[in-house]
Amino acid sequence: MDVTLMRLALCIDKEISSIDLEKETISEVCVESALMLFDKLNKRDEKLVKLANKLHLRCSEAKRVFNRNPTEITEHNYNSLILIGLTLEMTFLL
Amino acid sequence: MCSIGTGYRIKEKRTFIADELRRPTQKEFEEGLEFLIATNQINKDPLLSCFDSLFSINITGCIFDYESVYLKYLIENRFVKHLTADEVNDMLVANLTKPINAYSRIRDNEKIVGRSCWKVINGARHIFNSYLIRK
Repeated sequence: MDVTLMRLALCIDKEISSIDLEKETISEVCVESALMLFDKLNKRDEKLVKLANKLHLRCSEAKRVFNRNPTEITEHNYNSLILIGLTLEMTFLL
Repeated sequence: MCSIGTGYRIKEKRTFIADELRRPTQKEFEEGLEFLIATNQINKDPLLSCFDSLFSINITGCIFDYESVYLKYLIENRFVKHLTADEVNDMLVANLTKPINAYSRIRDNEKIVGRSCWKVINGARHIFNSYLIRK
């Protein structure tokens, strides 16, 4: 994988992993990066598979957080993670 | 007292990859995005023609392709940034009538097809929400 793309994938990974789902919002630039990047990556790349697994868990967590505490922030994060997840799903399907 | 090897490792830890606690900056994302944009031709014409053909197919017969191609084009063409509000409204909201109707008609007895319809609707809804957030 190109180094620049690898760094971008790392940025997405770190943002998804590090934010507090109740207090911070996933940035637009992170979502946009995910929309653009995933389709360019090798589907067999171990990093992409790991990121997909992490994203799946984080999305479930965001749903629980939103159900427990429905605010603009938690809704934004849940929607963002679903959107990123759909993108990733399509990456593996196509 | 550090050996050269130890010093090298310390230096490595300061790089982005090893810095596990810091949230990425906007600039770091943009660096990657600029590279992607530079290597990608953004063209919305294929998206417009794709919609015309996609929404004229038999939804119960071709749902999987429909869903895949539909979302792929939305994503690849960076839909939310490159269409006007009228285009979004006309193509996304108006055209969703068909999968929504199909979903309500078939979800009880054809669960797999129903689920695919739901994914189209749900995916489009989130993309549309994303558009509204950015507007």
